[in-house]
Amino acid sequence: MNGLQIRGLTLDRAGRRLVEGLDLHLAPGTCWALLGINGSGKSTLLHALAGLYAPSSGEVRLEGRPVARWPGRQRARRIGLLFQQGEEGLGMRVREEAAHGRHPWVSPWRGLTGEDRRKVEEALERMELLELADRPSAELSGGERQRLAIATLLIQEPRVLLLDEPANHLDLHHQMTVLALFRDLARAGRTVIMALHDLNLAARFCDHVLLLEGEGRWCSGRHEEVLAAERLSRVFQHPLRELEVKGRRCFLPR
Amino acid sequence: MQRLPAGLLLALLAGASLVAFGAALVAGSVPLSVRQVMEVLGGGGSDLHRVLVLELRLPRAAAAFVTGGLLALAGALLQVLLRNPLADPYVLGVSGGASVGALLAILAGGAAFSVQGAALLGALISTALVLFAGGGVGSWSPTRLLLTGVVLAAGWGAIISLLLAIAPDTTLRGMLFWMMGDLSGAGMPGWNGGVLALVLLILLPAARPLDLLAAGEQRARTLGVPVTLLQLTVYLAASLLTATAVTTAGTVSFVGLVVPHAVRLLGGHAHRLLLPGSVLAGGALLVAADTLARTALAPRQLPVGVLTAFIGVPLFLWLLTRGARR
Repeated sequence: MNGLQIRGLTLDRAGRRLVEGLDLHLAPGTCWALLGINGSGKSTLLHALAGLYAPSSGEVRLEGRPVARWPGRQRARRIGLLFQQGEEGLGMRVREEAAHGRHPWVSPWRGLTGEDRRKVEEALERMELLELADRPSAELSGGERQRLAIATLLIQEPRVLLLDEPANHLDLHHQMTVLALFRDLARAGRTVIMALHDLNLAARFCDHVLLLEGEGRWCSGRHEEVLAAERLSRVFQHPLRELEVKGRRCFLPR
Repeated sequence: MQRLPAGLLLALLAGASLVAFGAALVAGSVPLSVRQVMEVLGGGGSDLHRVLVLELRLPRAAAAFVTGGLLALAGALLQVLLRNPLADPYVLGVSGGASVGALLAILAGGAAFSVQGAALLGALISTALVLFAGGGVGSWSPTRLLLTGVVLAAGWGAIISLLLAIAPDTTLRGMLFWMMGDLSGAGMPGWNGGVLALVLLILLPAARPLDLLAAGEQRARTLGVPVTLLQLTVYLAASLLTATAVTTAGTVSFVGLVVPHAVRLLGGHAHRLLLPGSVLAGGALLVAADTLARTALAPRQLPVGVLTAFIGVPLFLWLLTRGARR
């Protein structure tokens, strides 16, 4: 079974139950939106899917083996995580930091090959970072840093992409191109799940939705089933109105 | 600021080390010419010159080189570990523990060997305390580690003050000088050089994982770096390096802070270059500083730690402003 198989996953953090008994198959070729209010456990869930956070019970399996039991480099070739907040590096340049994405693929005894370097350049170009490639990454703006983190993830080439607010800090143009890119990666057979705050972006780019409703409750399904104004109004504690504009569903706060 | 290619920078640093060694052999209370030194190294020369070069100056210069290399490598490692450019062997209290051990041994009237053993023991105890108080394997964060080290260092400092206050006058001068950093008693490097070479050889293959760790701990984890194991290895290695440096030359601060910075500014952040580069640059710096320390106000000998600060501070400021103006 490819993708990620989640069975009976229960997550607690600081004495609070975030997710209870989550059963879900994140299949290759699907693009999931992960929705919920602040502190509902979106990031914790993504970290647990990546094997970085230990669940209270249940498990996450990757190709039949629990994620926590994969050797680091083998797992890194399959699962990639885009963090919500990047860590401040010690002053590396943009190209060097992006090249770190190749680490799981590069032999410990050899450097990057020409093919590796080509992939780095390709991803930098795709994220419109080539002009900044020789700058120290600490000098980048918030949006540029986000694009660097995405470029690094693309260079890593994982089959499962866990994205914690990929649209963070991005201007409209980059939000659209980046989310379209992830949707296309899913259509090409990768598994994508992204935590989002913008319901309209979720409706537009994702085919499935996992909604964390609080106190461990959750609901999942195709986006047209889960994304309903009444349910979203209740979960997000603000009345919403659903509109249809040229065949596309939109949610407006009342 | 333009970076130098890795090979060129390493060659330049090796050249600087040779120049520093040359100066150390030539300079002293009896100045020798380069030709006289070459004669001695070639197996000839007068007896006086042979004693001066082979028994006094060369062992001392070699000890200085090893000490500088140990401290600079320890600094480079701790800066990755704490992801903090202010990290230094001394910040974490490792040298404080070593000093307390050594001073206790001196007070007890121990021989040179037992002083060294006690210093090493003190450094290892300090390391263990930081690891234990910092929360144990797996859960410590660099910030917590740094804070634990700082608090511990303050505690060691208090014990050192206490020991100095109660020490009899006859041992006080030796204790003080030892604490300020002194290479006059250091012999030809043996096991301390071995420690330096061994740690460098073990960590060089981990250069790329160290690069990833420096860029961010969490992301390094998702990219397949065994972060906890690597951090533990780095911390133990840095402690061993510091303890070895302290038992060789006492407290020489500043080298571990300034040298890795200078190498980064000149050649970038890749640890494949940074680790060997720091060893060479730290070694060269301390050889030069020690030569100045014993010649500048001859026959009076200055503590080498004062000289490293005199050389290191302006150099570092200059490099920093050049880097900022890029």
